[in-house]
Formats: sequence, C-alpha cells, structure tokens
Amino acid sequence: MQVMASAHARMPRGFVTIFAAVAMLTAVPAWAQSANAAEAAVAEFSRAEFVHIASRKPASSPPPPQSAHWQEVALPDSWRKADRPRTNHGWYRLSFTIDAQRNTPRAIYIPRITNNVELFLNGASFAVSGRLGEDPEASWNVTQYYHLPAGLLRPGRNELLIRLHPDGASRAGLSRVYVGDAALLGEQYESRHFIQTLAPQFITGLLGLVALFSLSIWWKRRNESMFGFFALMLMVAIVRLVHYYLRDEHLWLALLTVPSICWLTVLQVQFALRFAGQPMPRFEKALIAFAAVSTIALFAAAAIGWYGPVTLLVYSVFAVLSLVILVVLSKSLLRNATVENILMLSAIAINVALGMHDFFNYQEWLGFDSLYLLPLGLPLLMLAVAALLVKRFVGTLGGYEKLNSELVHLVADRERELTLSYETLRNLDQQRATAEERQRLMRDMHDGIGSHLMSTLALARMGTLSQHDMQEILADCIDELKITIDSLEPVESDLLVVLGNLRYRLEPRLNLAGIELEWAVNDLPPLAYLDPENTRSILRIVQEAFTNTLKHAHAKRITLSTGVDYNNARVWVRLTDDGVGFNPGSKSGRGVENMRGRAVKLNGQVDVTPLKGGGTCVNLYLPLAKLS
Amino acid sequence: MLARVLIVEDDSAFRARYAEMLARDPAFDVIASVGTAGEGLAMLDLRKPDVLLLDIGLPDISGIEVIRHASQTLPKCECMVVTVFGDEEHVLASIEAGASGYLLKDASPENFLAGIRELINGGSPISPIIARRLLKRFQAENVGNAVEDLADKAGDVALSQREKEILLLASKGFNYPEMGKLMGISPHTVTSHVKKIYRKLAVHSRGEAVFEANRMGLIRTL
Repeated sequence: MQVMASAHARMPRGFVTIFAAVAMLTAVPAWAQSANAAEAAVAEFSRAEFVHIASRKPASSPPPPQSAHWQEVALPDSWRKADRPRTNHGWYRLSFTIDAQRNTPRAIYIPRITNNVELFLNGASFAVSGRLGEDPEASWNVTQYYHLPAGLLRPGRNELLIRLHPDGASRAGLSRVYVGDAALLGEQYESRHFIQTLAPQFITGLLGLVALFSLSIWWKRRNESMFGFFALMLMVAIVRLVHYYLRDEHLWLALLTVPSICWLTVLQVQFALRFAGQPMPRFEKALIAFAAVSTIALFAAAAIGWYGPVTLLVYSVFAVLSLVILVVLSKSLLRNATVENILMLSAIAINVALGMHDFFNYQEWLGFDSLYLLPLGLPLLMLAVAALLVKRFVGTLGGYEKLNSELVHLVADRERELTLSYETLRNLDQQRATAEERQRLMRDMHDGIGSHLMSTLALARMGTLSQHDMQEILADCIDELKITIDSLEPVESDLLVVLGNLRYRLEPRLNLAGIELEWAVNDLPPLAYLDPENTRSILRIVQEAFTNTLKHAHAKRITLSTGVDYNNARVWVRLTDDGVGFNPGSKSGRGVENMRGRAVKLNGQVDVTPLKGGGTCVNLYLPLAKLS
Repeated sequence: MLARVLIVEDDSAFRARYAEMLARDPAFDVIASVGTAGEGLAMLDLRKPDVLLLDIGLPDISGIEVIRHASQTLPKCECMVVTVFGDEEHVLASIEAGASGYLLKDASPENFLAGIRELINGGSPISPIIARRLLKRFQAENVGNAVEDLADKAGDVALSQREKEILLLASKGFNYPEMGKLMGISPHTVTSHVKKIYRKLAVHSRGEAVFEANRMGLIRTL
C-alpha cells in the first residue's frame, strides 16, 4: 500500500501525464480498504447511512438523532437517481475505527460532492464549505479534503456526519468517501483537484491566449476563415470550461453554458473542415440550423421544467451526430494525410470520445464520482493548429530562403543580360559615332580640302595660277587639314586648349608676316558641347578671323582675348587688330558670312565692328551650355 | 661649335630640302642623309651624330626604333622628329622613345632652323594639346602607388610644381616668352623645363617597361 502510494506521489503532474492520471483516478483505488474493525491506512466507503429531511434548509441544525429514519445507501449516491427533491437536504453517516496505537494525522477526502456541506465528527461540527441555508451556492463539481481534528477522534469507533444542502439547479450527490492517512489522501486529493479544477482553469487561460492569437491572424488574413472559426470555437469553449470550476455560477453564465456544447460541436466541425481545406457550406448550414433549434428547445425546456428529458434528447442527437461528423471529417482530413491533418483528426476523435464520456457522466450513467474530461481534449486541437502553423512558418522560411537564392541568381542573370545589352548598345553607339564621324570627315574633305585642291588643280592646268598663289592655296589646304586633325583630339570641353593649339599653328605664319600676337586669355568654364564637329566650327571661325586680318588688315598687332559673360550665359572670344579697319564691300564679306553661319549653328553669334582710329574687332560669342 | 647632323627621311625631296636649309647655317654640318631606318641605325653607330633629324614613317622599320637606339647608345645626341602634322600620337610616341623635340615638315626655313638651334641650346617646343596630354598622364600616374615606388628607384620622374605650372600655361596657349613673364623666369628656362619634362616622360616610359618586366618576372617565380 505504502509503495503504491509513494509511487503515486512521484507521478509527474505535467500536462502530458494528465490522461494517465485520469485513468488511475477513475479506477477504484486499489489501496483503499473497506472500513472494518481494525484501522486501515485508508478506509474507502462505498456505503453510508442516509437520512432525508423533507424540509427547507436551515442555516444550522444539530445532527439527527439515532432514532431518525436512517437508511443504507450505496456510494456514490445521486439524488437525481434516488429521485429526491433538491429543495430538501440530507445527512450521511459513516463510522470508522481508530487504532489508539497509531498517531498519524487523519483526513477525509471526498472526490466529488455538492459543495454546501457541514462535517461533524463524533457529534461536533469541524468543517463547513459553501453556503448552508436558504440560498445555497450553485456548485456541482467540487472535490473536498479536510483534516480530522485529533481532539475529536477517539479510540475505537468514530462517527462522521455529512450534512448536504443541494442547490436548486445543480447535480446533487456524494461520491465514495475516503478516511485515513492524511498524507496519502492529501496526495490523492491534489491529483484529483488538479484534473478537476486546476487543469480546466489553466486550459481556459491557454484557450484565451490562443483565441486572441488566432483572432489576430484572422484579422490580418481575412481569407483564412479557419482562424476565425478556431477563435470563435475557443471562445465558446471558454464559456463551457468556466462551468466546470466556477463556484456560485451566475444565472446568465449558466444560461450561456446550456447550449454551449451544441455550438462548440458545430464550430469545431466548421473549423476542422477549413483546416482540411474542404468547407461544406450546405452541411454546415444544416448543422447551424440544428444547433439553433436545439438552443431554443433547451431554453424552452428549462422554462417549462422539461430540461432533463430534452437535454437527454438533444445531447443524444448530438452524440450520434458527432459520430457522423467524425466520419465526414476523417474522409476530409485523410484525403491529404499530412501530419497535422492526422493530428487534427485524432484530436477531434479524442474530443468526441471525451464528449461522449461527459454526456454519459451528465446522464449519471457513470457514477457520481466520475470526472468530466471534455476540457482536457481541447489542447489537442491547439496542438494540431500549432503543428500546421509551425509547418507553414518553416515552409515559408524555407521558401523565402530558396526564393532569395533564386533571386540572387536571377539578379546575376539579369545583370549579365544588362551588361551584354549595354555592351551591344555601346558597340552600336560607337559604330554610329564612327559612322557619323566618317561622314563628317568625308563632308569636310569634299567641301574643304577636296574642292580646294580641285580648283587649284584646274587653275594650275589653265596656267593662270602664279607660284605665289599656288603656295598660298596649298598652305590653306594644309591649315584646313591641321584643323581637322586637331579637332579630333579629345579636349574635354576646354576651349583654351583648342584656341591655344590654333595659335601654335598660326603663330609662325603671323610672325613671318610681321604681325605680333598678344595672348590675353582668361580661364573659361568647361563647354560640354565641344565635340569634334563643334570644335572644328569654332576653329574655322577663329581661323577665318585670323586669315582676314592677315590678308586684308595690314595689321602689326593682333590681340586675342577670352572671357565669360555670366549675365548672358555665354563666353566670348575677341580678336582685335590695329589694321586698316573693316571694309564691308571687300572680298572678306563672304568670309564673315561664313563665320556668322557657323556661329548660329552653335547657338552663338559673331560681331565684326570697326574700331575707332583704325582696326577691327571680331567678337565670337558662344553659349555656356549649347541649347539644341 | 659645329653640330653634326644625320638626316633619316625616305622622301628624297624632303631630304634635299632639309639639307638645303641646314646648309644656310654654318653651325650645322650634315654628315649623312639616308632613306631607311637600317641605314640610319648604321650611321648612328658609325658616325655618332650630335643631331638626328628623322621621319617616323620609314619604309623598313619604325623611326621610333631608331630614336630608341639613338637615345640609348648616344645620350648626347638630340633626336628631332619631323612630322607632317605634329599630331599628338606621333609626337608623344617619339618623346617616350627619347626624342627631345619635333619639327613640322611645312615649316619655313627660318622656323625650321630656329627649332633645331633651340633644341641644341637645351629647349624643346610644346603645343597646348601635348601639354594637356602630359599633364593628364602625369596626374593619372601620380595616383598609382606602384609607379611612385618605381619613381623612387628610377630617380624622380614625378613632375615638379614648376613643371606642372608650365604645362598648365602651355595648355592655355601661352608661348615661352609669355610663360616666362607670367612666372618671372626667362623664356630659355621655360624651354629647358619642357625638355626636362620630355626626359621624365621618356624615363617614365622606360620605367613602366621595367616595372612591367619585373612584374612578369615575379609572376613567373611565384
């Protein structure tokens, strides 16, 4: 016996072993012995003497006399089965023997009792629980444990009296009673109390949390109604669970609990069908309709006093329906037999089994000490949902990682493609630029040197060209060529380099003609449009200005200056000479027109003005940024 | 002092013209006038001229090779390239090979002789575009550490502040007298600076070749 008891004490109280504990508790404890002459460590009472007092409930009353109508009843004793009105009260009497030699504390343990009780030992009251009197506490699922005061115990025969006041609505009765070693019974009580009261309380909290979690998932993902139904189901389950441990239940809560089993069943089915990914709208509508009808029927029955038979009917139909639903769900869930679907199906099967057990228990077909087990099945449903969520989460992470690595490859591929197409584009661009450049050069050769040389050749053939003219024309041609070559040098927007190089080319000839060149340049901002063509145009304009001066001005001195006119967003190149001045009628007129034409193409301008006291000033204005 | 000149030019008309122009100045003595690089190389070794006047476009091998040979075997010989356009590619390649100046083929006799005289007196010509090119090249290479290491070994081939200033002014089109005035030095000092810059470019190019060779050697030993 001691061995068994200590083994029991070592039993883990964890959630996982709840079912093992239930199995042990629902069985008749093997270590209990019937009360007999010699004191046992624990005496189990499966019988008691009972006296039924057909009167209202006094707040206090002395124990009924020995002469009262004591009857022997079997324990557990159900008032409903015995057909006793719950407005009355009653007394139970148990007697046991105390061994004077033994000095251990003794206790009484009652697995289940209607809570409003007063306990007497050898005629003296030693414990009261609940509310005795006209307004008893509404409670039906309480376990009790009291130490027996050592002062009241006496060697030999002892008498224990239990005064029991049922409330009007709840089940009334007394389970088997255990008297004996306080430590052994204390452990027994703790286990029972855990499963009967603490576990449902703990699970209620868990349901609340998970309901909130599920609700927030649904709130963010409205298309996943599964989580909405799950949250709703858990909330109904909370209402139901409170009923298992809340003492002195309010009427409104009691009313809510009445149809809760129906809705719990319906919502569980709706949730499970969505979990399986196979909602069945018509079937679900039928279930809802039936639950609604049942709800009305239950309330109506409660109102007219037919509650017992109607609950039996409704619950029976639901019991049968549960089995049908189980078959439907198993078809649905096993179509895709994933771990979480199998977990879900097992959870629902266990819940149906537990519900069935509780239904039998409720109908008192199992005995008054039987436990209500429905609360214990609900965590399994949460486990199945958790499994689904874990799978999804892990799957999402995996998918995300895979996507990431694919993206990396994709980006690399795109990058390669882009580089390739960029390369192609650049090649095309280069080809086009080369083609354009070639065209420009061709045009240049054709219009410039080419025609120059042709006309020179023609004149030479006619014999009308003097040696001097011939040299001059050829020198012009070479200048032309040099300009073309210089314009091909990438100068990166630096006009001064371009002008400087022209000076470098022309200065020997100017010096030869006895002309001094003054270089009065100021720094210029970069001109982004200085490509070969534009450079050539500018060089031609300035060269033309030099040539005109050289040929017609008879100057001694030329000054080239540059500067920026920020107000008009332009730069200027100025060429002044101290020659004979500009003569509009002269041969140089065509040259000036050429200069003007070229300048306009650059969005620029050329002014040629005579200076006071002789000399000419040629101004070339160029935009800071070329406008197209 | 008499300057002994070797002419290497494949066009006989130009050969004759150069000789004729040089003959005007008693300071020059044309010791030979040849039409191929091979002959030019032979004459360099044989006659060791003071001045080499040559065209780059020669029929047998590039004039660049002749310049390289001259600058390596006759450090005192002034190499002068005669080009049609004075275009940058030709001129820079010649300077890198060791030439210290260049002349234009269409130059007037006065300018032609002035150019040679200036060269002998320690001055080199520079065009704005070439000045700009050199500035850019030295700037770009000052950034590289490897070249700076090399600079330590090969002597100072980086440009001095003054040399940079000269290149900058030259790129803006100023001539030597103007630069001298702007910088407070004589025009002659300016031209000798330019010649030094050309030397640096040549050393630099040789240095690059050495550096390249070292690098390849290193790779081989690894």
